[in-house]
Amino acid sequence: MAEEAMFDFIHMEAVSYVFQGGEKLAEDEAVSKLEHMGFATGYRLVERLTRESGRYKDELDIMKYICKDLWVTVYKKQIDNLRTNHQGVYVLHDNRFRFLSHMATGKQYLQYAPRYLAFTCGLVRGCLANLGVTCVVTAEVTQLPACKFQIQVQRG
Amino acid sequence: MRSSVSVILSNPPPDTTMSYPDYCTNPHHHQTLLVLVRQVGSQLKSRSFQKLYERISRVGHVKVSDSNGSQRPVWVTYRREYPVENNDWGDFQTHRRVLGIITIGQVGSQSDLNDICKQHESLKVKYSSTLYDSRCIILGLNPDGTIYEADSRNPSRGTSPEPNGGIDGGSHPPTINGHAQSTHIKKISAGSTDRDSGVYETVSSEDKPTDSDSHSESPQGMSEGMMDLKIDTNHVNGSDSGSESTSEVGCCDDSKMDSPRDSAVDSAPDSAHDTSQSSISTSASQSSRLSLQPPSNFKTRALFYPTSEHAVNIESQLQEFVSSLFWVLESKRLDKSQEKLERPPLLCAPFERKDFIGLDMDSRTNKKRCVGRLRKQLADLTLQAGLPTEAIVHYSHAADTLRNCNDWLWLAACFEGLCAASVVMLYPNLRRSFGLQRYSSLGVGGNQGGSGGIGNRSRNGAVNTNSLPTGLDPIIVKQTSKHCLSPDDIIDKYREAIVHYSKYRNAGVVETEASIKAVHVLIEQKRYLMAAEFLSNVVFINLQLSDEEKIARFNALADLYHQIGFHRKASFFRRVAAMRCVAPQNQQPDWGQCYRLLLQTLEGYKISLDPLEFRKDGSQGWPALQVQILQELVGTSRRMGQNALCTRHQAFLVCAMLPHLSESERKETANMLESLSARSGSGPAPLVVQDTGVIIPAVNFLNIPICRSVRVQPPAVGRKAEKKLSQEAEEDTGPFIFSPFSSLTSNTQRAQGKMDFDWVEGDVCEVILDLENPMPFELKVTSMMLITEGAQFESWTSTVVLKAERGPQPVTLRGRPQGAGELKITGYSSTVMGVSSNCRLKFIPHMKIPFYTINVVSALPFIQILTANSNTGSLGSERAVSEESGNLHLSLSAGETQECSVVLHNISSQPVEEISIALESKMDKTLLSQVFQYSEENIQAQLPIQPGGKASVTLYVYASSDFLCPSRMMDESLETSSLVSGSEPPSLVSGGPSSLPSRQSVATSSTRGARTRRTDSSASLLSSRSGSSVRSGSSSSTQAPSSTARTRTTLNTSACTGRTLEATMQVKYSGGSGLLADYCRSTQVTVTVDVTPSLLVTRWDVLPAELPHQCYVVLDLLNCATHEMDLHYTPTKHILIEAGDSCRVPIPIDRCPLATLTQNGSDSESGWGWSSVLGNHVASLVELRWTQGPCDTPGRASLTGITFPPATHDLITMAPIHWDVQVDGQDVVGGTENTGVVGRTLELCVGVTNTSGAPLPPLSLRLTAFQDHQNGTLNYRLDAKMTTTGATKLTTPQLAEGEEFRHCCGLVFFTAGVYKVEVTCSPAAAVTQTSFYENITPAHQHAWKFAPPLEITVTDA
Amino acid sequence: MAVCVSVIGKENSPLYIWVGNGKEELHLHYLAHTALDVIQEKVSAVNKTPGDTRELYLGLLYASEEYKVFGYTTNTRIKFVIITDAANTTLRDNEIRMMFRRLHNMYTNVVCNPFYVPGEQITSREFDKGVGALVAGN
Repeated sequence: MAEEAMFDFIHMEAVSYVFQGGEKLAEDEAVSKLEHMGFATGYRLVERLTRESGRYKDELDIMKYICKDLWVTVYKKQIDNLRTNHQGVYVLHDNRFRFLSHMATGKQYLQYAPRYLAFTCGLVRGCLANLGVTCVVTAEVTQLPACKFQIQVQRG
Repeated sequence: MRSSVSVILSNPPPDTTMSYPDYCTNPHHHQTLLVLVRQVGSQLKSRSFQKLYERISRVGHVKVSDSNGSQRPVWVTYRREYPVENNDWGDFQTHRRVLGIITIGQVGSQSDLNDICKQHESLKVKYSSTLYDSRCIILGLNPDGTIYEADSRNPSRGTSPEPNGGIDGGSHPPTINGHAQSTHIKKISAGSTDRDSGVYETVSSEDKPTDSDSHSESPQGMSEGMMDLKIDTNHVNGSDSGSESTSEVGCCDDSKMDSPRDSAVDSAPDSAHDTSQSSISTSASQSSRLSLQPPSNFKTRALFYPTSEHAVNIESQLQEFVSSLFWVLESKRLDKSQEKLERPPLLCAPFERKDFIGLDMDSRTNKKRCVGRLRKQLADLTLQAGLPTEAIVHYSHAADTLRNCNDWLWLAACFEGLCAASVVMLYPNLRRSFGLQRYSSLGVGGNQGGSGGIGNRSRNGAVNTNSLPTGLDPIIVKQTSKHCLSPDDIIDKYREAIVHYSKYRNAGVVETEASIKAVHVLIEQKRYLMAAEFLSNVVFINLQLSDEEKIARFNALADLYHQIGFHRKASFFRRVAAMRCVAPQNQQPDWGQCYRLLLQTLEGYKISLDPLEFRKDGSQGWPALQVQILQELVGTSRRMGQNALCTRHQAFLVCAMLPHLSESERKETANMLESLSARSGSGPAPLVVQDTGVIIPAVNFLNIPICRSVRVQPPAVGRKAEKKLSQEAEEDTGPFIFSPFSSLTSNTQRAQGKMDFDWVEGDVCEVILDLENPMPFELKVTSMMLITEGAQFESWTSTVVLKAERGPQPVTLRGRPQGAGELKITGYSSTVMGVSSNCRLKFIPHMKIPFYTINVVSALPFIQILTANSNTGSLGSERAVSEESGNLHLSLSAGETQECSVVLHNISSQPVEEISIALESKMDKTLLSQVFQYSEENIQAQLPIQPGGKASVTLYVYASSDFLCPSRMMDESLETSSLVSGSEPPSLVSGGPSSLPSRQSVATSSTRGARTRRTDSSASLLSSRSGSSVRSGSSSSTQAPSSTARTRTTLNTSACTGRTLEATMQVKYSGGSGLLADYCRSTQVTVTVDVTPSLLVTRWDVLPAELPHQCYVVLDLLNCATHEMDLHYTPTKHILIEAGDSCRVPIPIDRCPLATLTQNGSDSESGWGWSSVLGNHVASLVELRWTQGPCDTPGRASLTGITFPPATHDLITMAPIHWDVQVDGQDVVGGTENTGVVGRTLELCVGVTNTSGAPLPPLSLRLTAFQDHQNGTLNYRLDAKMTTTGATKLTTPQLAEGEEFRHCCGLVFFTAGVYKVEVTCSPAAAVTQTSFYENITPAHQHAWKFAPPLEITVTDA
Repeated sequence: MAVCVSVIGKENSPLYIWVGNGKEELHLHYLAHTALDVIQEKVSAVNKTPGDTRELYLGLLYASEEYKVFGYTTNTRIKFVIITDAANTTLRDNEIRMMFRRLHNMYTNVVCNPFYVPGEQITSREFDKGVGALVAGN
């Protein structure tokens, strides 16, 4: 559908802008810039998306929301697998992550994958932050287009 | 829960209503025996009373093994004061009865003892209706003999005879009181409300006999009395009440049980009484005896202790006391449980009594009611007696009965009891958690605020872990009792009870307490929301209370809310309480208390009086409310007369609330602050609120004004201190100054606030703050100064006024370092609106750098430079030079010399001990040295320059300039002119048109070919100058009088424009301590010299002079100065030239000896090498001096750089040969007249001597005769007019140095006339090696003439 | 119908307060402020009480003689408090709920405004209008 593609393209442009366009940035700077974009987006987005759902009982509840509702709304699919150690670490597996799905699988683009995950890391962090869960979100790709996001909740 | 309409059954007199709710009440109270502990007498210090009271209240739990051997927990509540009205409710809830009294007093004298006893007794009377037993602890007496022994015994002794009475009252009471009760009950039923009388009857009736028989046993009684006391004491020491009670376990009957102690007691007292009699007769006064007499006194058991420390056995005594209370209670309970009354009495709450007067007590409902109420009371007693399970059973039965007869009040009481019993079993720990005393809340706000709701809750939670009294494990209890209410039921029952209570206005207090109990339970259950509901219900209960009580009530609510973690609500009520303290209707407003309470509310409103703290979580608060609270704080503190506090709070209000204040609010709060601070300024020191340890931290206006940035200023250029040694270092690091590395490092230094320049001790240093004024009005910041650490620094206060506008406004703070070392700028202090604050950079939120570090070097001298040019005046007219760099501006006409004195004025306090001066300029060194001159030694000689002293350097400035200024323009003009004005006799050259070699060139020059040659010659690197000079010969010959005019026309176009010479005089100096530290300062004077053109040499040429060893340098001089000048071109000759005028001067000079040529000219491959050599030769000989202008300013010019074209070289250089010509034997010198006669032979001898430094190759010598027609035509064809004898053309042999060659020939003239003979010799064509000539004047046809030509006038014979 | 509408931020500081004119403003402030205690308790109580319908609408927080205080919290810890006249009995719980829903929508719209930084005071004419309509009951 159009508006999905829209989102994809905007994201692509954002990535390419941050990395090529504008002032030349170091890789990590650029990534953190994207991450921040994601954060801001998520922070505002969740305000709107959680309007209809009930109050969340606890952290796990929130994580479930992220995996289901949020992911479906944003990426048109659910997270395929959610794991947690019950000590504030959650791992979200997405076997076919939207932003990576259009890349050729295999090694050749593996190095560029992080660029396409930064925004989403921020997005998740932003949502959680607004939902009252301060955390660090990291992502890793071993085999395109699958990737996993690790959420490390900051206690206290 | 509260029924909207409260049903009021009765309208009783107010005295029967319980007016003092106990806000620390707690379900467990139902289970406890109430004991009143009082301080009596005047001697006892309240501190020691407090100590004792604490010890006593620690004995809150006693275990007694009851008649059937099972352990009974007995709990006690100690109270220091208890209103009688509440006591009256004792029937309604028995735990409200005061069962025991303990008085504590200190005696120093008999009278003390007396009034102690009196007070004790009066207390007993007060509570007699419910009292079981009492103790009187008397300090200051010791059991074993002291001087007070007799007296000390008196009370015990005094009591002793009556102790039977005492015994009856104290130990027998079970039975007796039982009777008393019953009888009195009868009375009640009979309708009399007076119960006390009944009791007294019984007591008094039984006093008499004991009294009598006590007398009989007096003698041994005494000793026993002594014994008894001892026994009593050490018995108590030896074994605690536990053992005591066990000893009693055996006997089940009350009377027997008590008997042993009984006997002991009564035997002791009466003997004592006896001695008392005797002692009284001897010593004691009548009054004292009387004081001991009142019979009620005898019922008291007194405990003597020298001091509270000696009261080791007080605990055991208490246990004994408690157990005695217990036994009385127990007996009552048993009675009630057993008795079956056909007409049960009606128990009622105080306010009810009236309602039942005249009611038919025999009606079924009322019977039931009586029974129900009795059952309920029994339940109460059972609960107190430590049998909760049984109590529950009783309660539930009672409840059923009462419900049937709609006795809501007592039903409610029943429920309450039920809940209490259940709570006792389910939550035994609850009793621990009511530790907080009623007024604890009035203590320091901080500490309570400190523990958040969670803290409180966890505190309750923590209690659960505490070990319970043995045998009271709730779990077990739960298992055992089936009737026990479930947690939820408890709450429901409480709710129900409260609903019922709420129907009775007079039950308000009971209702309140019930609610509070419920809240305690709910807290224990961690159901805070519901607790909140109950609390809000409490708020609705309206009791008529005194202000003081109201305040207490709100405080209690606040505490409870605090416990359930509702801090905002707590603070809300705390504030209401505070406002109550000073409510307008309040007669004696207590501002102090109000203030203390307000302080406690802060936490709930998220206000921390420390601005730094506050900034952190300030965002969490509710600005509108915060502002109000703060304003109230301000107001209260002002009413308290605490101006300092008041100001501090207002300051905080302004500072912390600024972001939330509107423009107008900012204005008014600020005004308020100013008016307050006017009364009492607020310094940066924290304040302590007296009589509460609360500390009000300082308020520093970090945000008024807002400091955006701090800029530490480097010293002014001239004041900068440089490392002396680092000079070279800087040289070689020079190129890298802007390398990324250094810039990088410098950046990192910035980051740490490390300045990359130094300040100098004793110098005024500046820091610029960019301040922003958040206020809508002009902000006056007074006594603003820097706060520094490290090196000593004298910072100067300054007052600034910040305009009321957005955006930073720069403010400069100055100071003077007092010592060398590292200086840290950590912040600034300021006084705004009367509030002085220290603003540390590290606390200012947006300041990244916590402090700035500057290195201060030790003091250096500083000199100011004054300059004066000597001729425009003496030092008087010195021009002070701007500090950083002096500027000396001179305008001289070219060639002029001026000396100006540069004065170094040491305006510092340090002597200048070292100085070095260097000139720097873009000019090349030679020129520089030519223009500027000064004497280094002179300066060094003047060192050291003392503070205030001066030293001067004289700088000689010579306006050097290039005086040679030819121009093509002129050439062109000449070109044309020469064409028109044919050839004229050279005006300068004496003698005829000597055919100079140049001449030929001129001849050709006027032809087109010549011009082309010139052009291409000019093309061949001939400088325009040489070009001009090439033809200057001809021009000289063709110079027209109009030449001056012509030069004028060309003046402006000619190159005679001024130029500027610039140089800076770098003065490095040092001295004082700075010198030792290898630092120095440098300053500089920029000297600018505008050179206005004065004299110009526009053209020049060389002409032969009369004397062979000389020649003339002919110069066309142009005076382009504005004044006429008096020019001395030779030592003797001088000429006046009008301004702008030009004139031509010949200057005779010695020709250049060949030697110099051969020496210097070797390098020359072309004639120009020579020409420069010759040029120098000429320049060295010619010096033009002049004076011009109004004050005859002297000037001099040299011809340096002048060159001559090859054509003229022969003229300038000495000829290699010397002519020696003789006519008829007589020498011919230039211009001598020679005469001849027609036909006669003249002998002409020519001698050529080699004068050159080297041997001369063969020369061809030629003699040519001609006639000059004086019209420019020469006639060489004289064959018809004369002839010669001998060769006129021959070649000389090689001439060695100095060798002479002579040749003679004869001349014969045929006609008269003037003849001329030209004698020339030139290198012989045949000669092969012409190298020599090549050397001398290459690329040119050589010829040396004998000039002027020989002239012979021939006359006819 | 409502006498006070307030939006309260994560950190329990007010982002927006509307007070019906003619009402003693500060008193209503106090009510709203103390209501936060109840809200906090209710929200934190979620896990404990199993039977709790985890609705954003928190219902009646507490009532004083003259006012009723209702609460609502978003998942993002934003709280809404609406105070109504206790006298006004016509107001049904469901209507209150709807008011809160509308308020919530309005708030989310504010957040979508690029110039609004979450956590700051709400100053939006649009929002004012919305609240005006809300309290007017249309």
